[in-house]
Amino acid sequence: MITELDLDRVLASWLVEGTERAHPEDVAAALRQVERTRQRHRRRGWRRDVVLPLRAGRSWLMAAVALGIVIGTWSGFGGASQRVVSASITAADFPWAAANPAPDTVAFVAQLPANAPEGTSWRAATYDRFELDRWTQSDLEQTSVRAGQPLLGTSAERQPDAQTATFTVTVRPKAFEGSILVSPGTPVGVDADAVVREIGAGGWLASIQVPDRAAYTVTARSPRLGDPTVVTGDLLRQASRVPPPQLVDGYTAVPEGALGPAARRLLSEILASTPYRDPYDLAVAVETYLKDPANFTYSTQPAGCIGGSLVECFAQTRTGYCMHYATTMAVLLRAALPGDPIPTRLVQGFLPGQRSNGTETVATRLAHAWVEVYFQGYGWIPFDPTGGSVGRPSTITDRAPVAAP
Amino acid sequence: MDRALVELAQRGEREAYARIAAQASDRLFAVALRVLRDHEAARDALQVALVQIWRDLPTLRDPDLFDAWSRRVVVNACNAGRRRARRPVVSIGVHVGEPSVGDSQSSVAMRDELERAFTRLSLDQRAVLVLQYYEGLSMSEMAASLGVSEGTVKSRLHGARRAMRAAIDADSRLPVRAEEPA
Repeated sequence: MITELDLDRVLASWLVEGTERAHPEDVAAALRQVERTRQRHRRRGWRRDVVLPLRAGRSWLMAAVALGIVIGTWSGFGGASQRVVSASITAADFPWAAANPAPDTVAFVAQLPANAPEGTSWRAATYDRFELDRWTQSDLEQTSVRAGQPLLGTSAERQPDAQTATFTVTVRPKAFEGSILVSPGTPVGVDADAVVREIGAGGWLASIQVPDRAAYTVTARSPRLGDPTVVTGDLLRQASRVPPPQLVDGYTAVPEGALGPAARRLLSEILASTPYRDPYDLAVAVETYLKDPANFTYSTQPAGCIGGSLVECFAQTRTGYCMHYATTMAVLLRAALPGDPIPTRLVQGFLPGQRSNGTETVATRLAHAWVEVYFQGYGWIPFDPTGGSVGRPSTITDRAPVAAP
Repeated sequence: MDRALVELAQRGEREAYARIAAQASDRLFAVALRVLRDHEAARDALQVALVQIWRDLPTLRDPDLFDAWSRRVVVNACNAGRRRARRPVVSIGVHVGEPSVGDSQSSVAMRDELERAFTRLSLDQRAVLVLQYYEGLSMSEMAASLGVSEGTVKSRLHGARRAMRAAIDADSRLPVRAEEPA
């Protein structure tokens, strides 16, 4: 009968035997496959997503093209939904931040029907995760959709028909040719094979890609925010605070270092400007405060604001453009109610262009970023805190509360 | 594994991952070969593991745990490969080193006995033996590497050792002393 000690000895010497090494050709074969394999992102609560940062100093056109590359150029049909690498956006990705800005370049031209409302902004992408100097998309899932099929199958982005106005436009990309679909409102259908990217499976829309081509026709729904039967300030004040399942942490996360002393001071100034603590009134308060030229100065050439937190820098310099205003509003709202963050996201797109005879021409200088705040039962409600008469005014009725308590 | 390298690879840097693969592949292959006892199957498992490690790397919360985590991936790849191929595990063994000191006819016979007993174990049991005797891991390290509780590790180890002991005892002609250095 063998003793325990001997058994250990036998097993150890037997298992340690041999000095074989991995075959280099096997490692090489695996690395070739790695080239074609995307990394898997974590589900909720993950701190790090794969981000391929866009570098500063490129033109808006380059940024648009890079965005197309980063989120993957048109990749055809892979069938089932799959996880993909996130895009990111920084303040350096706006046309006026380029070394040689060409402000009169046309981003795209759109043919609009007569019923298209005036002054509708163009949406390109949304971002949930703030990473100090950039915004990214967490848990990106992509699904291929055939031309003409509904784009928002199970997406949380779907809105009830009764609350939206639907119209169809034909977009001819010019400088903005990075294969990202632009749409007035939320796109629901397009006459091209498309890849829909959502933040988490069945989550909210991050962006839609269409193959590079001269034109595409997109059907979009725009929430009727000016219609008091759809939404009013009072309805939003009473909206439930129970978060829906699609609300991943990215929409509420405030990363360490986002708020320095200047940003904290700014937040307390804003909180002191309103007696209300519900998300809607806080959103209006932040928007109003940032828009006020007495507090902040609009400039496409702000000094500083390189590296560190965009919010802290803007709170210090008090000068910047849409990216600074929108980022600051989105992050301050998340931080306004300790332990009860208000969900926000950043929207990248374009301000309304020049319209003539049913054709709207949108210049690259109209590239814009704004904020959306989530309200249970109403979805994502836009706010535009950019000063200098650039940000669009809200159309929601009962904007101001009736009386202070 | 170097933490900074792992962090780069987690952010999608393929070059960083190529360096990690180069550094880790010998160790991962050695584990796969010892668990599977089949050269070709181990080569397959290594390739599968290297792709899987890349794909799932962002899910590794603490880069310092890369070694334990990658060991788990390769053990799982051994399991998956076996399920997929259903290839019979033949005991060609790892007899590639020079015969050890004191090697004799009887120890070769004992090796065959060990080999036969080992390949009758489940892959889970084989994995705990390899991690304990080849990698020299503690109970808690094995539990971390296999993603199971220490209790599970202990019971697998107990079963595995009992089976190996039975194999050795069955051939009482084999003097264990033969394994001792001359």
